[in-house]
Amino acid sequence: MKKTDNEIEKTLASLDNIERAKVSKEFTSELLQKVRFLKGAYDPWHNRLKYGIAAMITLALINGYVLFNTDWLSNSEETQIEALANEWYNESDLIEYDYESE
Amino acid sequence: MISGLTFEEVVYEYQDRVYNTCLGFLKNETEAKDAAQEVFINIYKKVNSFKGESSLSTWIYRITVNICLSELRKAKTKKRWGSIIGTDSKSATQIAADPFYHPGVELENKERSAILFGAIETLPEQQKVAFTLHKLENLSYDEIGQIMKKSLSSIESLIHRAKINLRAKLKNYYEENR
Repeated sequence: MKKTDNEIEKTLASLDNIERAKVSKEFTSELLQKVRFLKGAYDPWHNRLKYGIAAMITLALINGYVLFNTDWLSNSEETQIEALANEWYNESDLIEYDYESE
Repeated sequence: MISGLTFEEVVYEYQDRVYNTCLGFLKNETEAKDAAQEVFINIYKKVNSFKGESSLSTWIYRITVNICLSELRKAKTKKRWGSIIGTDSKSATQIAADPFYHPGVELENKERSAILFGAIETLPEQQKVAFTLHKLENLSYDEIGQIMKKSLSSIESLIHRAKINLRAKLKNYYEENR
């Protein structure tokens, strides 16, 4: 019994004078690398660049859309004018002038 | 800047303390390393929330303890789903089932400390935190009180009860393994 009590006390005291465990050599570099990556995501300039590129892409898309639509509009305008001209040509009452009657 | 230190200076100053605390709670070098890195990433993200009401070391230890407890809870839930036997129901023989040898323990105390670590694991959470911080980081009851946001007498009581529980667990262990 005394032996068990003695062993219990020794076990409870086994962590006395424990030395602090130290990090590995790679720990700090790995951590700082992770933080640098994180820093990039938080950096306002990084965000500005991101938003700048997004704005450029949006503008290019809008530009393309406008160009395409203008082209289509002008095509359709041409078609409409052509149709009108044909209509006018076919349906207009051309004055038939009888030169011989004069 | 945190308390006049750059982030890198904080890392160099506290990395061993944070890692050692994580190792004491998680008992696995890889998990402790990952948890310690998570602690510093949290510090980096939450630096603006540090108002200087407590000391920097108290704040860092608090983050460390919270991350370690969260990891332990996750592991416990995983274990519960994996097996019907929970960690709290560890029997005396199971204390030494998965021994952990802390690198900072003197050679003559290796075996006994592994048994003690096994017994600490079975303690209630609050007792575990107070006892681990006191033994592994050699923190005073007052410092532990600030970290755990408890009064000095509460910490004294927690550590006293932890010792009583540990004695009982170790007694069962040694009687079963005689």
